[in-house]
Amino acid sequence: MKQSILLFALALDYLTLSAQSNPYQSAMEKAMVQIDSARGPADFQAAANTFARIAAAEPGQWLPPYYAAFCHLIGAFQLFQEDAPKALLTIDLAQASLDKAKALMPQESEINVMQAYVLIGRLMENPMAKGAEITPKVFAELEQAAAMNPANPRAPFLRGTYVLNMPEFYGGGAANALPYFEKAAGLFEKESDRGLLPHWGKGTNAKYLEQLQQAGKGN
Amino acid sequence: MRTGFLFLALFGLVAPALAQTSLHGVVLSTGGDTLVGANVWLPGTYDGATSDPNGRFAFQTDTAGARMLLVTCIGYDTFRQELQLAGGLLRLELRLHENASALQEVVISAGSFEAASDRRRAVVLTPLDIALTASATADIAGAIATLPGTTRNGESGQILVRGGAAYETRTFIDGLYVQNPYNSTVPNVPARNRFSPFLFKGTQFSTGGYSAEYGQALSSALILNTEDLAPQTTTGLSLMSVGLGLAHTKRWERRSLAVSGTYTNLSPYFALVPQTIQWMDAPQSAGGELIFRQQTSEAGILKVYASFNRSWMEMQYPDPFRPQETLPLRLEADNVYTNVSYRDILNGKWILFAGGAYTFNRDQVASGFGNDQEQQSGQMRVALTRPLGEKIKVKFGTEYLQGRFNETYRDGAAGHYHTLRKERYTAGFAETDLFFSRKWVARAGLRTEYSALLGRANLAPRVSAAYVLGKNEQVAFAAGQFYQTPEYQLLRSTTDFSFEQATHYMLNYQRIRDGFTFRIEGYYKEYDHLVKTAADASQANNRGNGFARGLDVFFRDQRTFRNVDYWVSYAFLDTKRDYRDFPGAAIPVFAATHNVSVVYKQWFPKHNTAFGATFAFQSPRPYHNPNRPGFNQGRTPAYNDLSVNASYLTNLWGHFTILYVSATNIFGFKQVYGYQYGEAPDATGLFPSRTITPPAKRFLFIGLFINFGQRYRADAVTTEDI
Repeated sequence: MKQSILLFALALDYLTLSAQSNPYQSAMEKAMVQIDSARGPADFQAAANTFARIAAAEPGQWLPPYYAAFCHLIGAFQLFQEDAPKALLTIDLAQASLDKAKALMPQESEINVMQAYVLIGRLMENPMAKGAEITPKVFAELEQAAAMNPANPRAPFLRGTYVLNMPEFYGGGAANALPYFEKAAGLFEKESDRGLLPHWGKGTNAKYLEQLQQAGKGN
Repeated sequence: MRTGFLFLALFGLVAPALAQTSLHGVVLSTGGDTLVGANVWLPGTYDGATSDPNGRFAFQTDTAGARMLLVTCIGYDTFRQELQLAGGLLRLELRLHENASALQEVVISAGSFEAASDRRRAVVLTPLDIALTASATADIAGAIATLPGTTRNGESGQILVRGGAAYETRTFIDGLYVQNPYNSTVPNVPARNRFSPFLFKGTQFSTGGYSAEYGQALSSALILNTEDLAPQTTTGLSLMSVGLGLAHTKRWERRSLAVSGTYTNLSPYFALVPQTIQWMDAPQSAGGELIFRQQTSEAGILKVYASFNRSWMEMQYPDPFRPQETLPLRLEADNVYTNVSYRDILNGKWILFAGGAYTFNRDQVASGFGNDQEQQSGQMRVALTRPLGEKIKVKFGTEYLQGRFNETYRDGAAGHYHTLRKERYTAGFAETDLFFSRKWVARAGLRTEYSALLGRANLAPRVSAAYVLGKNEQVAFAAGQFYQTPEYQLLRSTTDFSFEQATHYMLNYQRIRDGFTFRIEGYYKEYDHLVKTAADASQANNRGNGFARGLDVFFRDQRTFRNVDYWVSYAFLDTKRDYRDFPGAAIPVFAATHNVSVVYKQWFPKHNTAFGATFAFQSPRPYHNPNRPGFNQGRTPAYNDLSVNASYLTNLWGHFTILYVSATNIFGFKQVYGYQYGEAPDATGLFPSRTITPPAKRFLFIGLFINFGQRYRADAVTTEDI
């Protein structure tokens, strides 16, 4: 009895210790749940704050600042309608976080993808005036991302999304975007459980692909 | 014992929980506003929380002892506070200071229509706005004329601001004064601005009360800032109903070079569309342009711009004595303009600007008389800007200009006159921006100028301030003194004048939100020391004066209708002046009491077409009828105009192409700019006259702009969001 209680107590203690021995893992997991449940700009701000706290506590990890950038960016996209100046400041924060991640992990395909995404955020300020300047930069980042890691599905996915939103006479539109979504879908299929590593985009890619294929059948 | 051990073990397990501290509280601004989205945390731990819409936060931490609490929030300074964590509950009320520089909601707005630098959401006219404004035909001055505070003078094509004559508005490119912003022309044939709107990334149009950085403009400053590095290598061909152009741009990593040439000739167009003017040689021009940019460091950039242009025209021009009859008149004009500037950040603190410009302009008029006017100017400017902390910014600088005006007038009967005037002009300025808070900014500046030609100096104080009333709305105020050296043409017989002088006061309210802009501005402007000419040149003096007062209203909506952008301007103007040859105070011929512009633009994404329309109304303008008693007592009919344009974007043989069509006055309203009277009565004892109208009822323009090997262009629509 005494021993079993002691063992039980030790086991509990061990469990507590093991959870505490990798607090980074559990903090990140919790924070990623926070992203999944985020709905509005305020939620994304809160999630970005969480990642910023982890980033400060774990100065060697590139994922916390990477996700902080991601959350700031998504929040900024949602903010543009109601408060454009604040959205622009939020994009500045996204870039600042991404720069931290870049410094820690200069040769990471995912960071180039995120850089392209942040540039698209910048484009939102004035698409007419900034399109010519930013579009080649977006494509350059995505091409570099694909060159570094041809298996990264987020490079073709983001490119497809961008091309889809461009007018046809610039080489945009559904027909031009479709091959990128198809390529991305194949790569998403091969992507195994990524844990904390970036794995966003699969669902949206599937949604776009389905829409475009439906529209294609309709014609 | 056993139970004791068990107790101990259990106690050991729960012990950390007792050391846990709960932190609860609220995040506020120093002004008492609740702050949402603030990150409240203990650096080095994961423990922290984000403030909710009520500014509230709550979290637990297992750490104990002395710890730093950190709060970050967009638009506020980072907040730090030392805490003693000893378990239990800690209630906190955290007050953050507004960050003066991060979110400068408050911008000095009185008198200024500022094209947005990236952050400022002020009233904007981007190059594309100018190109797509119907009635402007891609002319900067034409687009500016749709803003409140301006009066249209179709006979000159120049910008007239708040009861000021055309010469009272000066153009500055990269801080340097532009001697001849318009093409050379003769009276009643409208001029265009020399510079393409696509040269500039920012346009700041000041209708008064402008910064001490600029001088020598009684009414208004048009401040144009050129583009930095060209975005990419491209070749462009322009085929227009009035001529053709070829341009090539090469982009290297840190430098770019653009070279272009243009030839225009209006004779094919005039052959198709009848003109009231009888042309012997329709206006033609040939010119070239060079634009070089070198990035010298992260923030440093060297800019070189050079252009030359030769233009000529010959026509039957109204005889000044018998205006219904005409005499042949030929104008030949040459212009060279160069502008070199360098900008960099020194020591991470000082922003340095250094620039120089040189202009040569010669207009040769041959008619019954001959008149050659040659004007040159060379200038230098150095300015330094430095932020002192987050709340103060200082700027100061100096300018030097050397000018030369050389005129020959030949008249077979009357003889030969020659005028040579040389100017050496020196100016210094200092200005400071004081950010009292995020709600409150003031700018105070002082400018001093010395003109060697006049042998006089002046001191011009300027102040302005803006205060944020609430979210997206602010009031602003500006006042100042402005001096201008009389134009060379007034200095033929004497230079014994002082500077012409104007004092401005203005009060402005603006509200900018979600694609809506509303602003209203009242002003009062007092003129003094205006030049009075006299039949006996020696009687000319500096005792003219006048005033202008009025109200400008502007509303722009880029939001309500998808793909639609429109603005409405209304200006009320009340002005009188006694200057030049006026017998007393009178309304000048260039002033209209009511001025209305409605500009509409719509983008049709499915058709890749942008459509624009501009309606303009102007109440009657005065003219002088010597056959009746009084001065400037006649009134022209009211002015109406409806202009349209359309731009179709496509690819031609795989090259990005814009087809642009515009037409002014599509309804053919009769537009009368005034009446010209003979200088002496004819046999009936009356002064003969003619009506001054546009050279044709409408002006049609068609252009095809092809960009070889390009799919994208800076000046092109790239998404549906127009």
